[in-house]
Amino acid sequence: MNDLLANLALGFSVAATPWNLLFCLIGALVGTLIGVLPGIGSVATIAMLLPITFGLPPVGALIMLAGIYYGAQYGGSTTSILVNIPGEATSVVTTLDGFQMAKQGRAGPALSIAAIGSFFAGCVSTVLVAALGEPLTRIALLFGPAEYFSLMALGLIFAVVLARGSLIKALAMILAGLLMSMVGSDLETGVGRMTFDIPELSDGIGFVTVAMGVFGFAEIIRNLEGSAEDRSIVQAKVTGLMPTRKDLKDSAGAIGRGTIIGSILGILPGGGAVIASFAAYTFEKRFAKHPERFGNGAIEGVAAPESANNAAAQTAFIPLLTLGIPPNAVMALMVGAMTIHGIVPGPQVMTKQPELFWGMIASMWLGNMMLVIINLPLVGLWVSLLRVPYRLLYPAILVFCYIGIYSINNAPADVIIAAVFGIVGYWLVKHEFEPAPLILGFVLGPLMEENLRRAMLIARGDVTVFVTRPLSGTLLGIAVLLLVLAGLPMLRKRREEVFVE
Amino acid sequence: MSQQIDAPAEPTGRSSPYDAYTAYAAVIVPGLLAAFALWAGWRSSGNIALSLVAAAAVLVIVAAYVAWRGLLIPNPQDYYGGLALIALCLFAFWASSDLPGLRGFSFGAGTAPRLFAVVLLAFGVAIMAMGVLTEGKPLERYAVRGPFWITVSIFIFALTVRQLGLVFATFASFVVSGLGSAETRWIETLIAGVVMTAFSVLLFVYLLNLPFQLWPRF
Repeated sequence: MNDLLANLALGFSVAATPWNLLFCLIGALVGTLIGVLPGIGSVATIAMLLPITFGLPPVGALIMLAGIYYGAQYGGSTTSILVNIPGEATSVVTTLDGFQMAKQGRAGPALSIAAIGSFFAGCVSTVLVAALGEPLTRIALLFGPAEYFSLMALGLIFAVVLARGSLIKALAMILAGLLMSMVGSDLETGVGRMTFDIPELSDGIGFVTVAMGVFGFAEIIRNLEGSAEDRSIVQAKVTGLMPTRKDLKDSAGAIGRGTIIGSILGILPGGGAVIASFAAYTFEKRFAKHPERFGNGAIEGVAAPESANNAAAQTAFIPLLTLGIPPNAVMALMVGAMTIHGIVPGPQVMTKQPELFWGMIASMWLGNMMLVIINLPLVGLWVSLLRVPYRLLYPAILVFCYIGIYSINNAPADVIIAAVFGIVGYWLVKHEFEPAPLILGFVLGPLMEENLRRAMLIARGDVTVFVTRPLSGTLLGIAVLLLVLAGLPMLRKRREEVFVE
Repeated sequence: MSQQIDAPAEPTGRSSPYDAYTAYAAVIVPGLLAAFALWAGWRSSGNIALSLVAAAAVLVIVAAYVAWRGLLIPNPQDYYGGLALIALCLFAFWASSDLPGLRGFSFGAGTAPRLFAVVLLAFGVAIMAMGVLTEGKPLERYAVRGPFWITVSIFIFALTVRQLGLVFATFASFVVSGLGSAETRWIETLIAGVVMTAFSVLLFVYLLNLPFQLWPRF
């Protein structure tokens, strides 16, 4: 307990210096501004802004990047709610109910609840990280490649359970994502795989490129074919920015559960915040009294994933700082930033540079607080985005996407690849395939392959290692159980449909 | 690779007027895929060859069943969805056929792609079978105008941003994407295009300091 307080005190003493507060504020503001622009999520934002922080002192640079991370993620959820385009994989589920709420003219409460939930989750997970940081290092060290693989498999199954519609089609989408992520150089031998000697493919297909295509472009194409009525939400008047007492009451439990789920899943490497938001949503939906409300503008459907991804985003720093393994794309960029400043991510950070570790944790809490203060008054500004007619909004979104994709590698080919994925996404929607599992499989593909390869190598080709190792076996067991649970009601529903006919 | 997915995407819903011309796609597409699978299976070995031949056999059986049923597919969304996934897998097998496979218990560069492709192949076959065995919705119509002009707009941006600069690429792609909607009002769109271009330049070039070419390079 004393350690915890001492560590937190150290963290706040670092984070609360005027310069670091300023870096944090700039990060949060810039992150929100860019994150709110449709089509540019936190990964793209951080990638674009990374060079700006090179001139700062290491602690300041990382605090600012963390601020951008939070700000952009927050902005991403704003975009999810208002325009139905998730800025990042973590806010994919927020679109399901958030956008429905916006359609019903309740964008304001959705945005406020997202901010309040995020802030609450940020507070709790800060304390959690401070308290559990060191013991968790030891647990995380028990993870071998087999466990990592099983953990990621479990994460993917979570995504399947979430997907509406056919279970088997969602599983197929995951595999399609895994398969597409194989394009590019082989991790061990550096051989180009399925690249056809096209230089633009030698680094693989970028996550942001695929996400913008499948979610951004496809959504716009689909919107264009609908009649003006279908997207009258865009012109709909938004009244009542603040959540009602009922909203707060409804979402309080969801925020709490989302925070818990997010904190737990965030600690585990392999997609933390993404899986957390999916899991929290699924959990709320499965255990709600009226699950049919979900997908039709249930406020819990916004509160739970937004709290969960924030909690997970914060606890996701643990695998990065303890094992040196980035659990998601943003953390991978953080590794890049740390390396540039001469910090090697790994167990030594917590012991050798406690002021950096705890300063960053404390700054995240401060950053979250700033976001609430900045964003609740500014919600009106984001809402005014809704008043722009769609015929003007969609070219603007498209052009932002083009520039955003182009800016990642300065590669025009990336924009064209995104266009291809836009058509693919449109096709998927027409055939009732869910794009979200595809994206998740795509992100986790390379990590899964790496751990699968290592596990098989260590076990000398023995496949049973995934079941016989207790931790790995448990994780896979949960995955199978989830699949069965998800399959049962589906079977029942299928039968009912048959009976009706 | 991705265009491969779109190959069997003709509008072949039962109630569509294209029926007479495209109903044969229900047999021709799986037939072609089966031929390709056999050819790819011939060139590979071991389990991969086995699964490819099995996939080809299933494709032929399903196609024959569909022909016998008078080319009527009860669930065309899943039928063509499954076929597209199978096409993607076959394409992946072909594209990764030059990569080394398993050596002892050490993965080669091609092991994981082929592993994922085999499992996806099984799912693709299952989904196609669902298309024949279950009732489902007819295929939806595909819009042409929106996708076409957005694609053109993307190509304009991608092909001009290097040589002609951000200002031209942004403005041109903005205006061209406006062609994708019947609701576009031209004067308004032109003004918005100018505003958007100015804003993008301000944000990306001056505020974010990204190294973009602004004006045409000669």
